[in-house]
Amino acid sequence: MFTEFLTSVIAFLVSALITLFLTPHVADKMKKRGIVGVDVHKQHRPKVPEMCGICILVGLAASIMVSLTILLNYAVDFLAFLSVVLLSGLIGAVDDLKRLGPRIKPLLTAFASLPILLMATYDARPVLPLIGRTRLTIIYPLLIPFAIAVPSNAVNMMDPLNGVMSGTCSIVVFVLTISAAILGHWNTVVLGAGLLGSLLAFYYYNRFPSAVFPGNVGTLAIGAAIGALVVIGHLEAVGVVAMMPHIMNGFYFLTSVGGLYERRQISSRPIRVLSDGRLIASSSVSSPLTLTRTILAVGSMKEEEVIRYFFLLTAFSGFLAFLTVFMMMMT
Amino acid sequence: MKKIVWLFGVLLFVWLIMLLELWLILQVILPITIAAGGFFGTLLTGVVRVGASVASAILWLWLWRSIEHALFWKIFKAHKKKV
Repeated sequence: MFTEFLTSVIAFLVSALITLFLTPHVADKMKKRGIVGVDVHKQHRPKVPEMCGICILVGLAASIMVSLTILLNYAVDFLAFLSVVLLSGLIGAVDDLKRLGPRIKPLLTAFASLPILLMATYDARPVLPLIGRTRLTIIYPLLIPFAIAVPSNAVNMMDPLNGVMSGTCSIVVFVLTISAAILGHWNTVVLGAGLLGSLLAFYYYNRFPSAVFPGNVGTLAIGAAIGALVVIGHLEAVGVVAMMPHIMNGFYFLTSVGGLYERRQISSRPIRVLSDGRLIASSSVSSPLTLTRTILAVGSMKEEEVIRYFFLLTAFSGFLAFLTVFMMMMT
Repeated sequence: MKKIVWLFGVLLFVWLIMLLELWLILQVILPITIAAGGFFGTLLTGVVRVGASVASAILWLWLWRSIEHALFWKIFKAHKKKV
C-alpha cells in the first residue's frame, strides 16, 4: 500500500508540473496559429487560445508512464485508461479542427471505450448502496460504451464559464480518488492522482479570467477519463452522485432543446450579458435550461459569483458521494 | 449561498430518490421470477428485471427534470415580479 501511495504522490506531481510548464507554451503556439475562441461572457469579447487541454493529456500520459515503471502489476489497467483518454482526446481534436456533428461525437466517444472492453479491465459485479454486490455478467459490458460517452459529453457541455470545467472536474476527480482509497482500489488512486494533478495545474490558467480554453480535446478526454476511472475503480454509484451537476446540465440541455444539437446551433441563448458585464437568464421558453441559467433564476450575477455556485453545487454532490461510499461499505 | 439553496435541495432530493429506487429494486424488482422453466425462463426473468430497473432509472430522470423545470420557472417569475 505504501508503494501505491508514494506512486500516487509522484503521479500527482509529475502531471501537475508538466501541465504547469507546458500550458503557457502551447497557448502561445495556438495564438500564433489563430486557434482561439471568443470569451462571449465578457463585454470586450477577448480572444483566448483554444485546444490547450492537450497539455492535460500530455501531463496525464507522462504520469501514467512514470507510474507504470513503479507498479507493473497494474499495467493493463493503466494502459486501458490511457488508451481511452487518448482516443477521446483525438476525437476532441478532430472536433476542434473539423467540427464533428452533434450525433457523431457521442457515437465516437462510445467507441473510445473499446480498450476497456478488449483488455477486460472491468468487473461485471458492481457494488451498489443498499443492494450490495450485483451480478450483471451480460448487461455490464453493454453499458460500458455509455459509461464513457455520457461523462465525456456531459463534461463537454459543462464548459460554459471560465474555469468551470476544470474546477468542477477537479472536485469530481478528488472525490473519486479519495473514495477509491477508502475502498482500497489503489490502481484508481494512482490514476486519479495523476488526473487531479493535471486538472489543478490547468485550472491555474483556466480560472477566471481565463488565459486558456481546454477545447473539445480537453473536455472530451477529461470526461472519458472520469468514466474510465469509474469503471476501472468499480465506483459506479459514487460516480453518478459526484457528477449530478454535470448530469443535470447535460440532461436538461438535451431535453429542453429536444435532441442532440451543438451549442452554436441553438439560436436562443440561455443567458445574456448585461451592459455592466453581469449575466442574466433568458426569459425565452425556447432557450435551453442549462445549469448556468438555473443558477441565474434568482436574478443577474457577476460571472465569478456564478462560477462559485458551480463549485459549491459540485462540492455538495461530492459530499453526497462520500455518504454513498459509506453506505456501500455498510451494505 | 442563500440564492441557490433550492438547487441544493433538488440535489439532496434526487439523491434520496435514487436510494429509494435502489431499495425498490432490491425489494421489488430483483425478487421477480417468471414462472417458465429452462433457459427461456431465466432469460425472460433477466429481461424483465433489467427492463424494470431501466424504467425506474428513466422515471428518476423524468422526476428530476420536472421538479427542476417547475422550480426554475416559479423562482424566475417570482423574481421578475419583484423587480
